[in-house]
Amino acid sequence: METYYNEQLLEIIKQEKENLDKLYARKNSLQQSRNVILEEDYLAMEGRINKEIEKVQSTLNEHQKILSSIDLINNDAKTIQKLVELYESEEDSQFKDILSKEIIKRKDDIEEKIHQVIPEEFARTLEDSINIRNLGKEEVEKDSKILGLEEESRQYVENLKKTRENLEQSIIEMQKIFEEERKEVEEQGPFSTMEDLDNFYASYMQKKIEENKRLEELKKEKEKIEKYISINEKKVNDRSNAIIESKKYNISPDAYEEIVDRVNKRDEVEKYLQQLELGDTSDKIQEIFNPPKEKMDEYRKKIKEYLLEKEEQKNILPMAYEKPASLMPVEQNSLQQAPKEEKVSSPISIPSVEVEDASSKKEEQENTTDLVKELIPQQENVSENKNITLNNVDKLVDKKINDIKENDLVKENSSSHNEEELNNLNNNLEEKVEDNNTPNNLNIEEKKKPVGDYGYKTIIAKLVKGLKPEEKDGKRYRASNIKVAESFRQELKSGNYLYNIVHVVPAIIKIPINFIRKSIAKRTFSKKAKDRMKTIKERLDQLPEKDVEILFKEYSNHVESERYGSGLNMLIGERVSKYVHDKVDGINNRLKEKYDDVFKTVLELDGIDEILNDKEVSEERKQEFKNHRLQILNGKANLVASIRSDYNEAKSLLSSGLHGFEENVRATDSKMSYIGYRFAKTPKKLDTKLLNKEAELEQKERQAIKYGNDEMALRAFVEAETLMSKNTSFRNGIFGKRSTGKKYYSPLAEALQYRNDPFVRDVFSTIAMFGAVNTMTHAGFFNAHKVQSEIDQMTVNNEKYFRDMSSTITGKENAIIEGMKAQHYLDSLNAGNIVGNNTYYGLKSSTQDVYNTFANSTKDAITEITTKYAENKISQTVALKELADISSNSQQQLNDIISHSFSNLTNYASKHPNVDLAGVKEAMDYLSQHPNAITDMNKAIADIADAGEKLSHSSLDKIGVLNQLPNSYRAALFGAATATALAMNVSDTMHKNAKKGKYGNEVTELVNDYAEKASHRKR
Amino acid sequence: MDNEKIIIQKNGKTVECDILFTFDSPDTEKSYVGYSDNSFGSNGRKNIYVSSYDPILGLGTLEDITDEKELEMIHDVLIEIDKQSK
Repeated sequence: METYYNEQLLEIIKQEKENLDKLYARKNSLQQSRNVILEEDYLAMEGRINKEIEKVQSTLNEHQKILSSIDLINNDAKTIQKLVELYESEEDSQFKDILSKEIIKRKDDIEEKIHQVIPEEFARTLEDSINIRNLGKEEVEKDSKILGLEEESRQYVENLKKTRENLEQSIIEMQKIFEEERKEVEEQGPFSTMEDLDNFYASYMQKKIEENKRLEELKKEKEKIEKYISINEKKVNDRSNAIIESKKYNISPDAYEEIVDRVNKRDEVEKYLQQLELGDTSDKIQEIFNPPKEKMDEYRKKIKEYLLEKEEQKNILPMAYEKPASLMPVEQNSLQQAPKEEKVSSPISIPSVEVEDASSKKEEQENTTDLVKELIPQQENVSENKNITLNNVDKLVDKKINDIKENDLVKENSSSHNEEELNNLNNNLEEKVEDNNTPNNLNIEEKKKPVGDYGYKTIIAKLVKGLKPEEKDGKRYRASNIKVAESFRQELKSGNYLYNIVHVVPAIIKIPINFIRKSIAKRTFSKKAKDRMKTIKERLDQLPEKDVEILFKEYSNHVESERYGSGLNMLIGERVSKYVHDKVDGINNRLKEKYDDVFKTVLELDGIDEILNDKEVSEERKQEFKNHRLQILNGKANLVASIRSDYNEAKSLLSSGLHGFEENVRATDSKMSYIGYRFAKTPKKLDTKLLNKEAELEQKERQAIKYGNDEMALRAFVEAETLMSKNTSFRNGIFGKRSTGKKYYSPLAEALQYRNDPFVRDVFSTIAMFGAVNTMTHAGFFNAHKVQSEIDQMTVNNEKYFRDMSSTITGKENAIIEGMKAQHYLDSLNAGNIVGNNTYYGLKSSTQDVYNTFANSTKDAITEITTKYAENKISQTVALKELADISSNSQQQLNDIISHSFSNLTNYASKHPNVDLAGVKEAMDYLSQHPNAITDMNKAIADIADAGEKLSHSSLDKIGVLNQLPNSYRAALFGAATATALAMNVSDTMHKNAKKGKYGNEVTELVNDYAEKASHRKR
Repeated sequence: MDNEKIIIQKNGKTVECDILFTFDSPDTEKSYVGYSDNSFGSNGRKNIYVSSYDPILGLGTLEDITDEKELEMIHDVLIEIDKQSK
């Protein structure tokens, strides 16, 4: 390492300088010859020389700049050389470590500088010339070992970083591609008015979803890589540290790491002991880790006394369960934490369910108590355990830490625990311990039931802890304060234009000042809601598989009764869906393997059979194959059975399981009726206090069932049911009963069918009647013979109609609903045009059109009201009022038609002698005065009421005369009359039924009774 | 609202746009504006720009709308405006 300069570069620079000198010489020579050559030639030659000079000068400058950089690098290299020399002469190992780090750092810096500043060709030669690569190579390698920077680990981290960069690049590229695609679509002008907008919207959404999906995948991959990087970097650092530190103590790095691990655990133990307020715990820690036999008993006794004293200080109320009918295990904590076969004989009684309200100190004490008991050998086993080793302590501490972590779930979600009950529970448990030797004892193991320690309520309480999610979280974005320029409104009204909607911002130069709006309060609210959703989602993502399974299996059956709100349900639904699909994927993989096994076996069997049929194969050999054949067939029946069972499991997970879950969530979110009641609005905020209490009862019930405590199970069940009932309420209003409580409790399992909602059912059944009348009016007038067959057909049609409407409403297909609404407006407009242009009176429109003008607009208007009601956008009161309005409007319309058309009919009748004008007038008057005639007829057809008999002859006779009118007139009159009758009928029926409190059923009555009885029982 | 203008740069020229509608969303914490330079696209349809902006910062903060839920909401709003205009 004697030469620090790049000879090659110096040579090049020297050459360039010489070239430059030659060029200047040529230029001087040219100038001297200027007078003897043509000016034109002179200028051309001078230009060429100048260009050449410029070029050479530029290159020279560049090379000199590089040379300056090399000078700086050389200085650094000299410094490193000095450091290396110092390193070699230094004896103090600690200082040597520092030096080695510094050398490596500086070496890396130099290399980086070389590659950043110096062109590659010079860098290579530069490295060779100043021997940077070899500079202190031996030392550096040694240092690498010293520092534990194993090449493999470093390389791995480097590779991961490269992968991350590639991924980031891919994401950027994909985003660019998406952007371009989007622009292309926009340039094509996909938006127009509503229909085109819908089309664009659908395709855009599809594209967007795909984009997001792909980007999400890439981002996930990136996150994974970053996680690996972080883990591995930490490993490298820890290891480096371990190796450095281990040298100080002259032990191996592995040993050092083990010590650190143990010290951490020991700190943990010490922390807990300090919380026991036992004074200075250092000696005790020492005792625990190195327990002298004579002190162990004394210490253990102290802790027991302390705890018992604490227990006695509590006010023990009269026992709720005076004479337990069955046994419980001796200690609740051990129920949760100890292995199943472990029987704890300690008399110390500790409540099983940690209390959120209680101080954290108490919880920690309880945990610590267990920890200490585990760390200190039980008295009767002292002799066996007296030689506690560090490893044993490690294991115990490890186990305890894991237990604590696992129990965090339970601990975090229990709240406002009733201390009295806990005391009772303790006493109860202690009694059982005492009774443990009585002849009536039942074996605990035999009494255990296959239930978990907690259920979905506990999990959801954990998910929403501290959040209080609200009903509207996670719903569609809402718009408010919509303002429209009058010019735009007029333009839309005119319908003269189609539109392209562009959502990419153009270059803005100026915006009016009054665009600043105030919505700070709303922003805060919305932000909170978003944060809540985000937090819950994160918690759901971190939920252990077993908890997701509980949500899937248990919560799906209680979605409608819990009323947790759509946001929470949506998030739980997503998590459950992922869980089920993952599970099904696993089953499918299993199935693939089994299928593979089956077919491989079959192929092998075929081969063996061929051999067995081969006459040239010896009998002895054949026998061998027969044996082999039997061998490979062994267990295949079970294999086939397991394929069938796996398939069924996967299918049931998807169809009845996940699908059922999703349907229940959907039904709950749509707020359609279940079991006869419509819901009032979902409570705005989740009552977390109630939820925590339920979680607590749930755990108590599960524990009791698991360990066969019949009475406790029963009590906990009744208490939980009563709590649900208490929070379920129904309000009796003038429009019937509605569920208004925090819960919707029902002890019976019922299918969720919206059409059991009497309100919706009545509206739809009336509309269905209208459809039937519509058909019959066009087919002919009051053909008595057709009535019966229509009744039969209509029954079938109605069912289908109900189902179709059910699907529409429960699915909340906005597009369809919007389409229906739009159609209604269009119909209304068309109706106005027809009447306004008087084409109707001029008999220019077809019979069908005229009839539909009235029929459809009224039907759609009613459907729209029903839809709004079903979606909970309007109350029943408003729905009834709107129905009454339609009825009134229809009546007015009918009267107007009759009034206007009669004058026209006078002319018509004069030219058509078969028309009985007086009869027509009478019929019209009758229709106007008795629009209910057709309603009554509907009822007769449907056999709903006995009103059919009332209309039998008189109404038919009176209306029958209208048959002589021309088709258009007749259709118009009956269309208007039927629509009026329909509206009146719906409005009247709904009002009457509502006043009677009809909209409830016997199941919900049962709920009330049950809740009341449960309440009495409790008292 | 009426006669309000947004001035944009288009094809190197300064163009005035009429503001057609505005609305707020408490969920996104943003406001939205629809405006048009009364130009027509190659398909013969009138161009309307829809952008979001910060209701507090207001000036000069118009942004593209890329979130699907925002697009859903705009879709709803446009339908509502169209319906009410008839």
